[in-house]
Amino acid sequence: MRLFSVVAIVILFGFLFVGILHLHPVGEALGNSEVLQGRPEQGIDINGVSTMDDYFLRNGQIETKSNNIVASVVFDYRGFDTLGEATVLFIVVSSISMLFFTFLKSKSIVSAGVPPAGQFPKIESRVITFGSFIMYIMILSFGVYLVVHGHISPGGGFQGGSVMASATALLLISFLITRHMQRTRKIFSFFESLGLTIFIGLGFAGITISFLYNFLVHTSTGFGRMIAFGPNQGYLISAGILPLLSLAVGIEVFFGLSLIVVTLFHVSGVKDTNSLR
Amino acid sequence: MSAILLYVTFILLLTIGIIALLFKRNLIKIVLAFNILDSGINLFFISLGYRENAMAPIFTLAPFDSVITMVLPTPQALILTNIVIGFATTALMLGVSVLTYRNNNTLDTRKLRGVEEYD
Repeated sequence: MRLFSVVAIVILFGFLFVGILHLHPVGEALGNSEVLQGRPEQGIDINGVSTMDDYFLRNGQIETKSNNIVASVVFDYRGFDTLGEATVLFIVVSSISMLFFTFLKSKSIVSAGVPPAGQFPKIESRVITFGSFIMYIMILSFGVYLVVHGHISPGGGFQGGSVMASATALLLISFLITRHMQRTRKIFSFFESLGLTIFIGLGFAGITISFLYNFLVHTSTGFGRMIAFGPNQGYLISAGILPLLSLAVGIEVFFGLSLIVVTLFHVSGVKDTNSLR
Repeated sequence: MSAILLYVTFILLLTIGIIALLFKRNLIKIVLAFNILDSGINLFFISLGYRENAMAPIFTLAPFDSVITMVLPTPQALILTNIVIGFATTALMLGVSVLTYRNNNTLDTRKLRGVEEYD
């Protein structure tokens, strides 16, 4: 059996190596450059890349009014994909909560390292607790910045939400929110559901045309601000419903990942193993 | 050779991941093998859409030249999806591993299957 596995791996390795010899070299993403020539009237010519990506690069800024083409692909052109991704994250969080159902329902669980009420935690250093609190605020601000500016700069709901969830992990290792697990889980799961609900609600808001239709992009004021093709300094209020979708996804990712981190932290520290069976 | 170095790195990562999946017995190491596979696939997609001397596909404060070269946006969007999904599945697999250890007092997959010697 082991010999069979080795042979299979060698065959796979050979097939992959032969396969990459037929790909284009790294750094030269080929495309059908004759299909979409540059826009000479704008004075800008994007070199021809693949047809679909060239279409996104050339028309994404005009059609979705978003400077960040990746954000316009994620939230507009492939909005269904992002909805599925958010749903997968929601299902994973639900599954983890379901796996540890008996543990999470028992009231008398005391995790390792968590002091009983009225006592100080093991780490008594003011440097750690106070420094963690300061860093929590700073990381959270950076995450909010990433979420809010998702359509005009690198960032978006997923990245900003992940950054904010790392702030929650910092609070956990400094024993600032290790008590009150039930209350923490209730708050986090409520806001996680709220994020996904906002996303689906924004999708249904444009249901007269189609699901996840960018209905704010044609208003020419506010979120539908006119943006010409080409570099600009970036406008915070633009891009239709993209910032709102980004905000919804940011809320969902932040609280979902925080819920995963909090649950696994408490489960890994539990002493009474009978409650996990 | 340097033109396909990233592809070779992808193949190495993929092979390491598959070897670890097939031959490692510890569940935690299998989860790590999934992560290595994920990283290899992410690297492959990103290097497929890379162009020499190109910018990120963001027009904010971009240099106003006659020719703007940008990398492909769609692989980046797909990998953005894949990273979050990879994190979520890793968390789920680790949770299942915790339950497995609590129930069976072992993480060895062969022992979990009830087989003494398998080769």
